[in-house]
Amino acid sequence: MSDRETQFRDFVGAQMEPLRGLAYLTCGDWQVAEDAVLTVLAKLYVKWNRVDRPESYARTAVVRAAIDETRRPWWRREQSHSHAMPERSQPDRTGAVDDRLHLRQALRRLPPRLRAVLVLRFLEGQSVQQTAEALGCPEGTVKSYTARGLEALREVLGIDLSAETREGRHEVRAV
Amino acid sequence: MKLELSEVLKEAKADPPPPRYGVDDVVAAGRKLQGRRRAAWGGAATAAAVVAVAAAVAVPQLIAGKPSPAGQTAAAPSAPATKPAQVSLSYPESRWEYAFKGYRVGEYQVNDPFLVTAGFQQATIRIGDEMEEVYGDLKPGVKPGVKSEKPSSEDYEIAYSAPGSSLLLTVYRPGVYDPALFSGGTNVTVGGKPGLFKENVYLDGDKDRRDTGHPGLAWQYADNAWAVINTARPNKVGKNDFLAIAQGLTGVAAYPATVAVKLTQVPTGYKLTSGGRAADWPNGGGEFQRTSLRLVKGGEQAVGRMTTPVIDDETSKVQDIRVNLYRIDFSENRPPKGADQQAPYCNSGNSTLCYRMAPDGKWQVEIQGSGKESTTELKGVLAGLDFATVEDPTTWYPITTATP
Repeated sequence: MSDRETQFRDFVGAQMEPLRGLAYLTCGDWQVAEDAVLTVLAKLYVKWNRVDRPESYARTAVVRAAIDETRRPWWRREQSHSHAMPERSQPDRTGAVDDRLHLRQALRRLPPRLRAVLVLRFLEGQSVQQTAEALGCPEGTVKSYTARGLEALREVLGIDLSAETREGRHEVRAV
Repeated sequence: MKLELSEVLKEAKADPPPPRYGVDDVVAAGRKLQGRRRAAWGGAATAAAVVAVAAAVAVPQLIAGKPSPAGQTAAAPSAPATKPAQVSLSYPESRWEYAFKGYRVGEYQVNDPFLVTAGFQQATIRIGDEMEEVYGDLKPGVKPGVKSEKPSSEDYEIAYSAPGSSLLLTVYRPGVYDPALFSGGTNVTVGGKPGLFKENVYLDGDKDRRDTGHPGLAWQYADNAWAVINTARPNKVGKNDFLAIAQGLTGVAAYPATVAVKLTQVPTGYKLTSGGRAADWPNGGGEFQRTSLRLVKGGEQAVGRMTTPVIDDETSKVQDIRVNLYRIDFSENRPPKGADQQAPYCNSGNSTLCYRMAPDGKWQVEIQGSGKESTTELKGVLAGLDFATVEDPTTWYPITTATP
């Protein structure tokens, strides 16, 4: 096995699961998320020697791919027929699963790009500028989406949210 | 109740289902995709593999070469319009000039050459009206690809297409080619000159490949000067057809290679080493491309003996810059919304790739660095770039004037 392939395999082994989670948060469907990650990593394999920041490249590409997946007609069509992998609906005794489902449902109510802004900024720790570059939109849009996303989540969850970014701290209080 | 959003997001992705794909799946998909790109000049060889990738990966845009549907014909843009005066084939002294024009033999259209390098020049060969097709979305009603359900190519919409070519002609400068890969082949003669035909010979000489059905022909068009025809479409072209195509190769008065863009500034020390309408294998986009320029820092080393037409393999660490002009439907990147649509911009997360749209909005220039160049340098190359009329090759620049 070549050094190149060894390095690539190590990278995939370490990054595939985080990327899957990132894609899932963006598109809201584990199966679609996995397809998006596989698509991106397959492309990365081809250009492996020429990507100097593969982690950054992969994260950005995965978010973009996951957004693109949600734009596809088949995805929208299939969503109404429960194409997505079924979530467990039975309450558990600890309430942890209920909380998780509640969070997921709240995120799903956000448009994909708005969701992606929250994920990139608050989970990936990217700046406004980096997020704008990743999503191909103006920085003003990122700021607007950030505020709208936080507000929407607060409304859905009915809780105060606190979020730390490179540019400062955001507080959104329930009223 | 107050929650930290990062914790909310982490919690929301917790407890995932078991993954459907592993590292091996990724590597396999990458290899298949690479195989598709390697065969972009021919495409058909990997059609089955590409479909498999499309099924497993749900890649929205994958190339698969195959004969075009009935009635869907398209003339290859590089097909010759007139027949030039023929002379015996003689390799030009200048590395920037072509030695031959396109010609037709039965259903085989040898296109005008598309690339000049220090050691060889190349032309694609189209079989009939074959097309290179890029798959788009799944057709309505078709389930998306999952491991257990693999849609076939017919399940996908064709997003866009271009004339395809399943054969590649490489004409080497005298003294450059070593026919070692044809060792054990059948002795043949082409125009009275000796040659070798082999039932299975890979373009890149990959020793690990085991698939069969890739015949090739190497013959001497002049003393110690070889030409080679390779195929990416297995089991489609027989020995007699190879010989007929080879027999048809004649020379013309040397004429300059041209390109549709001109660079007015490049980073210090970079020198043009190859270029033309399309790129060297396995790079480039076939008929989706209209220009390639490769510049190497310090220039290239002297050309030694070559067994393949690969000048920049995937393990290469050469410090180079590639400038490619693609059709926008083939190129995937677009300028940020709200930004100056004519200004250079770089791909987020990958500082080696930057872009600039052509004025007509139909073509896009991509610059790919080696990782050693700053994005400022790459953007500078793009900012100083002049466009000819891409659709009109008579306006193109001689490649010798395409760099400062």
